[in-house]
Amino acid sequence: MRKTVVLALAAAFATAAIAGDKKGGSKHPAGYAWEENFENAKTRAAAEGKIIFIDFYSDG
Amino acid sequence: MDAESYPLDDVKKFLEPMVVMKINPNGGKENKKLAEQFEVNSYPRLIMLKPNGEQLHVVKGGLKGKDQFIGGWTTHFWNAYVGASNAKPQDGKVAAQNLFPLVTWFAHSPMGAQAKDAVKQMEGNPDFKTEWEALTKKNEFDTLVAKAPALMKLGKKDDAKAAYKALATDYPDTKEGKDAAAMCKKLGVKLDAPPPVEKK
Repeated sequence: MRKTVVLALAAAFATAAIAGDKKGGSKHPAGYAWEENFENAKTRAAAEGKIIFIDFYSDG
Repeated sequence: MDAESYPLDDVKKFLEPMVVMKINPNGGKENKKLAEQFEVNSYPRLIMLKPNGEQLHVVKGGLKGKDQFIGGWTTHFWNAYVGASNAKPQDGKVAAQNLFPLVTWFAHSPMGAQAKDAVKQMEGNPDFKTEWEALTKKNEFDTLVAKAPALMKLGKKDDAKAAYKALATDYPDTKEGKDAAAMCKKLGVKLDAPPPVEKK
């Protein structure tokens, strides 16, 4: 019974993580609408008269 | 910065009016190309671009904590303004050039508020006034030039028509204004007739 609960929880956690990745931006800090595509960012910024902020980072 | 800066409410508030991106140059061809385009050769490298894509400011290295993060973008302009004011107190042109970005792009930061007060004090300086008006007009023009096609691309046709019309009407003698007038014709936007020349 305990094993089943642990497996179910692990499966739920993995599903949530995959769903988060599919949404995009989940690997980045929460609370921001991180734009994934530079062309889209440029179009949005131009249309809305906004600044583009880019954080070039390295995970290496 | 992911742990020390981005989770902070003040940093979120500072970046809220901006389109934000995090790019790992090792995360694919496109990202690598962008890093090359912006000549990124060390990390973190933080860049802000105006709505027309022109570079506003670059910060090399990380900005940790709210003061360093927000100050990293605004101190540069404020210090330039103060330095120039101390060296040449009457140089209104340079003062306008340094205060303009703070008031235009960072009005929601503490130094943006300071800059607004400084602008009030400089308003009596004719060189400042002339340069401020020129910067404002250039910014409005640049923003409009970028805005019209972007709205079109997003399918916001009515807004795009209004932007093209404003560009054609307000800047009729520029290449962009003439192109916008041609676009208006193509889109069926009627331009207002220019005011009649008064006979003397």
